[in-house]
Amino acid sequence: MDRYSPVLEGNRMKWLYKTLLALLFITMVTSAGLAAYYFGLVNQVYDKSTHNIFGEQPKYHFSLVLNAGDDDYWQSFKEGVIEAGKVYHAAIEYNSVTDPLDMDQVVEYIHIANKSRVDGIIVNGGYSSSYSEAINKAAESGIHIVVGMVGSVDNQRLSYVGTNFYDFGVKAAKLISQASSKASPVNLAVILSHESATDDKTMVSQNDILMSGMASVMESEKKINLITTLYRNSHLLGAEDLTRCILAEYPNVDVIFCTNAKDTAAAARVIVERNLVGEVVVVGTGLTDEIKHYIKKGIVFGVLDRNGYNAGFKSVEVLAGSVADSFQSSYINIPADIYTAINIE
Amino acid sequence: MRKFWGKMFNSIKTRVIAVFVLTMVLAGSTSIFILGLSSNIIEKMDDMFADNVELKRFLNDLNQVSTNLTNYLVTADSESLLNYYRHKDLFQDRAQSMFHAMGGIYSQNDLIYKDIAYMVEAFLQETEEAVRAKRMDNADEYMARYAEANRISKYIRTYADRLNLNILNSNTTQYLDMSEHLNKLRTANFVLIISVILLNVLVLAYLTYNMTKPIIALANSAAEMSRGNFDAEDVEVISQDELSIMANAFNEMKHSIKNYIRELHNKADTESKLLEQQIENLRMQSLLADAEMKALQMQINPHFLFNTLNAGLQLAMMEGAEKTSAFLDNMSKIFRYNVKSLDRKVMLRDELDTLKAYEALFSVRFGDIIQFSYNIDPSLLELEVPPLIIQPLVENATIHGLGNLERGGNIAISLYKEGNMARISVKDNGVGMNEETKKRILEGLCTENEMAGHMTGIGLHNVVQRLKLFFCHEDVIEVYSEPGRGTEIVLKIPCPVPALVSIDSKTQTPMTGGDPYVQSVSL
Repeated sequence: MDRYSPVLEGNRMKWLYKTLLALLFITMVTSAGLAAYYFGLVNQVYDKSTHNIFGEQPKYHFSLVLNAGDDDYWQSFKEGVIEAGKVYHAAIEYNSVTDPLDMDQVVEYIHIANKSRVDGIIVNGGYSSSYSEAINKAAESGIHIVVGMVGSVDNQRLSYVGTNFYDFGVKAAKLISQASSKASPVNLAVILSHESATDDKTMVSQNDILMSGMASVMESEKKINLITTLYRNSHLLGAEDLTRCILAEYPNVDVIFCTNAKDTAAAARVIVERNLVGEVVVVGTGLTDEIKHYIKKGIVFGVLDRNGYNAGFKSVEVLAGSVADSFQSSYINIPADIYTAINIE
Repeated sequence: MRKFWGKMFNSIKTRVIAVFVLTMVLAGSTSIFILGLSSNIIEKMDDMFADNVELKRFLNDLNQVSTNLTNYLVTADSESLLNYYRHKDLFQDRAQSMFHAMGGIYSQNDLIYKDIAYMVEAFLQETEEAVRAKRMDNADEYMARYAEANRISKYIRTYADRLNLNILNSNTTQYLDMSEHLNKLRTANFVLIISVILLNVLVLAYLTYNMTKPIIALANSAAEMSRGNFDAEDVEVISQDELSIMANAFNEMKHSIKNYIRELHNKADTESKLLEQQIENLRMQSLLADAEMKALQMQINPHFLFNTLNAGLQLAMMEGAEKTSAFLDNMSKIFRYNVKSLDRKVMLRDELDTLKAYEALFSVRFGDIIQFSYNIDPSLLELEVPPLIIQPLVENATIHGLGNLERGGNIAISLYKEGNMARISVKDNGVGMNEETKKRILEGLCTENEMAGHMTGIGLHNVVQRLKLFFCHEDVIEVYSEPGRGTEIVLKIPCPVPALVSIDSKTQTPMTGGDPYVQSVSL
């Protein structure tokens, strides 16, 4: 049994007091340390905003006017541009064009870039006189310009970096001719991407060049019978609807060719939906995970990848070289790669 | 080190100041720490929105320039022109201060700043050209310049809005990133404040406790003292400060008072004992005086009585009256023994010898009506006792026990040892006594007259009191008696008998000065 002792009680109180004192002191120091630590983290977050996102201090200022939209090619193109900007010490000012058919916005950005005295412009505009005028005006102001879409390449300060659509059409036709197991000629339906608004009927569009490339092969080899060509130029009528239309109107169709990744995946989905796997095969453009899956399943025979990243990277390289007064070719072809079940991962 | 701190803080004032400074420093430094953090964060927050504020002012200035330019071009009013110039200068200054402050290109926003700066330059160039053309009345020129200026102004607004939105988005993201850390920072600060408060409270409580504990102990001790308790524990103060000095002084004062009171008590005890001793002496004196008074009453002209008795003795011898001669001889012995001073000591043998003489006289007077028997332990005959202790008992037995009986009786005198006590028993087979009488005898309530004997005139009470005083022992008598069955009175004497306490030295009674009876007996 414990006996009460004032001395023992006093010692216990002293011990308790010292323990409390030590605990409070530790708490105080720890909380002060934590406060300093979290203050440091706040500072880090604040200072992060002043970090140079372009790596080293950039030497050039390039304006990227791009309608990336939902096209994987242009998304990859943009990534390539930004990465190349870091490599070539160029600050990339990205001006996103929200409406792919609104050329005024593209033109306005070109004007702004002109007034802002940028060192170079990378733009994927379409075909309009105001666009050409703005491009030429900027070029006259001494700004180097790289276009991502084929247009009038008649200015010494203009370069085209991208796919040679004639070659692209040839490759596509050759791939299509191998796509179907049915006897030649295979019945082909083509779904082309939207056409940019143009008021100049003399201009030759990328789709025209592509189709002429395909036509050359079709004529020489006679293995393909083009039964229809459709343009996906409306957001309301997507590739899925167009595929359904083709399947409904042309039941003898063997191959459907699409010119971008989104349309390719959409066409494949409809074939699966209509239970036409093995009957109709898709030849597409662009390589995404979904498309890889369809290639493995045999729904998509193969695709042509236009190498958007390389095109974007090369665009900056050309601009940087051009600003540095080194000679740059006015036409730089980025060849498309072919992927089938044989060479995908 | 400990000594150093001990010396440093050996005063209450120093300790109070030190603790006060410590708590103030703790609270103050915590406040400064938290204030510093808060100020820095507020500064950052201000800085985050400073660009938005500046952009708003910038756009206002742009509007002013555009408006005044339009006014001038429409009205050609010099006031408008002045306003245009004034606002143009302000706008230019603001644009320069905004865009020249940039240290380099670090983000998309910096690029937009740079774009705006160049567009401002182009805008102002166009406005200047428009004004110049207006002054030259070149309508086509100024209209074209005005249109271009408006277009650039629109671009500037577009980019400024974009910049505003970017900054706002960036600030929102930044704020969201920071807010988590800020919440934790706030919690840490809260814990810090609470812990500092508790720490201060604990330190102050300890100081207060340490300071008040000795004071409370002193107060309690003082309260105990005021109630007359000087045996409370000393107040202990471990520190070396004024409280320790006060406690030590208090303890010393308490001890001094305690000692003083103890001395007073001792003195009072001594005086009390002395007084009791004096009272005892007075009682002794009273008893002696009483006994001697009795003796004196019987010592009427003892010289004459002894001479007469001796003359009678010689006459009886000459006449050949041997019995008369023996009678007178015994009588002479008894008188001689009885008149001796009562403060002397005698041996039991003397007591018994006198008793023999008394018996002889008694038998001459009353014949063999009363028989005496003796049972004596000879080893006890040398015991020293006060004189005249047995004879009064025998006289009581003859007078009160057997005196009224026609048949006579027996008186048995015994002397024996029991334990370490010598017992003198005088037992008769007379009338006995009831409990009340026995009680009165034992409690000493019987008058001397009631118990007095013929020869000695000394009562039982006197005998008992003298024995008590002589042996310093209270239990000296036992009485066994029943009505009709006789009485036995036993005197108990400690054995061996302790040395007689000198009454002279203790009481300083006048007896030490010599007794005239003794002188007379010696004659």
